[in-house]
Amino acid sequence: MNSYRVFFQKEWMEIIRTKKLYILMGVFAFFAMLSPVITRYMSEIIALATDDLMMITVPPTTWKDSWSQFYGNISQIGCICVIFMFMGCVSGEKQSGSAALTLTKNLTHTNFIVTKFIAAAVCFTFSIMLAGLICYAYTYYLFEYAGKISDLFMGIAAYSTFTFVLLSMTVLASTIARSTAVTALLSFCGFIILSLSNLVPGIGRLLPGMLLSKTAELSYGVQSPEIILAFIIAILIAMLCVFLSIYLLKRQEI
Amino acid sequence: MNAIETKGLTKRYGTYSAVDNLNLNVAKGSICGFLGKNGAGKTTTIKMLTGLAKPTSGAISLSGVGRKYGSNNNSNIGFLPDVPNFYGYMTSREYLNFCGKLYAMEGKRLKARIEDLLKQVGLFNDNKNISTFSRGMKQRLGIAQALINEPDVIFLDEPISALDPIGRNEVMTLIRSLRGNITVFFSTHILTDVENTCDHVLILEKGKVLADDTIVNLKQRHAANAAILRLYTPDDGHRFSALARGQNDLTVEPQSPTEFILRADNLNVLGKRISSLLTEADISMEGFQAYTPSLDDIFIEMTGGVASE
Repeated sequence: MNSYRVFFQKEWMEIIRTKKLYILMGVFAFFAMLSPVITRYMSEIIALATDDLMMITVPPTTWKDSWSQFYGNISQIGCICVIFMFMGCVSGEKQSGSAALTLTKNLTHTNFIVTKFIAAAVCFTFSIMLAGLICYAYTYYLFEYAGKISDLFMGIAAYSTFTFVLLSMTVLASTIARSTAVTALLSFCGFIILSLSNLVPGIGRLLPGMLLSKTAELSYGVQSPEIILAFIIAILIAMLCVFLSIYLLKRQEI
Repeated sequence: MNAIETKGLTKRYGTYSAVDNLNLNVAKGSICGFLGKNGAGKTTTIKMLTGLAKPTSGAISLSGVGRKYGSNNNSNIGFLPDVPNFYGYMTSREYLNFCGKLYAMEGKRLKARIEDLLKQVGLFNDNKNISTFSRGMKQRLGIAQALINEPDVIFLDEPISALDPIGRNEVMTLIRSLRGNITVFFSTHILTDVENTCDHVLILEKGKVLADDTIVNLKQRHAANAAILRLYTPDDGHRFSALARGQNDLTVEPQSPTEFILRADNLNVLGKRISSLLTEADISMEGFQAYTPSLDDIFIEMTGGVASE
């Protein structure tokens, strides 16, 4: 356990000092503040943007639209940020040679991969939790209601679980690839496949894409019994990607 | 007990053998120079010894303990790759602290070890981030991190290849200071440093061992039937070259217009032959003495003197 703790401390220091945490927190917090405001003043914004002759009727917006706006905004930009932040986590260390120095100390390939995944997941979870609370507070302030706090956490849990799958795929791509450019390409392909996975006929409702498409609904309390299965399958896919990364790293010459 | 032992160590990539049936025996506390042209298999060997590459076959034993690929027991070894790269956002103290903690070193013991090492490698007063370090400073930090766990054996892959003469001298002095306490196994292309530092030399060519001996023995072996002849004038040199060309049992290697290395099966016979040849051609010689080859000469002779592609 000592090497997990020491390597996690190193990873966390890297996340702080390379400002990954602040960037991720900043991006999510920006959309958390912006989304309720845009939703609340949507009709005014549209009225200002159109002339008097053009009549557009905008239905009154509610706190539910605020959550839809928030998750709509972060579902792509947030995921792209995650890929950019962590695409070099393994390939960068292999390329620079720092992995060779670390892995010739008392640190196994398993420690190396698992800790990198956990540190990135903690960084992401911290950022999205903060953003969720900001969005909740702003929505409450502007609409006088923001839903149940337990539903807020369900929405965040769904988005986080989807992103954990994406993170594990990014770690896997970073292990396979020798360069960060190839990692980015593989990760983006993975992101597109994951995002569209809910469209697969028959089993789509059980795949991680469903979690991303249901984040807003979960935030305002709409749940389906199959969502638990989608959570379980997403966690299994993330674990599989992490195990595959370990397996492949062990077979590579560093 | 030997510090490093390998038996039949082999690494193949498809049909290509990067390291072929390597048997090593490096004595404890010695400094072993690992030589070979580019692509000879030096880095691959070091990678297998440090657990960064899986051997195709063969066995490795470090300080009497068998090494299995994939185990994380690296407590007895230190390693410095050819181009060391550290986490640039850390200071040297933070990096050594991280390395020490990976070996479960803690508290005062680790702190004292870090301060000692930083003094030893001349980085005691540097509190800047590693990203601002020069190549020489990184190399010195690399040696410090390789020594943090007080290992029995350290592997240094071309530790002086990109250093200026001052940096090179500093690193070589550091390596020499380890003699007797730690076994140092280092690869390099700078043979004068090996000659001045190493007890033992290993020459690798196309993954196979060409030489595995002490420098003294290697020199004796290669000097046995060679002599150096010095003449007074280049004209004498031309005439001598023409005469020597007809002698089948004599090899002449011109070093300059007036200086030649001569090789024959027997040094006494060689002396007599040269004496009679020079008398016959009426050439006076300035000097004739047994030839002591440098390690460069031995290396070039053994590896065929052709640069790798």
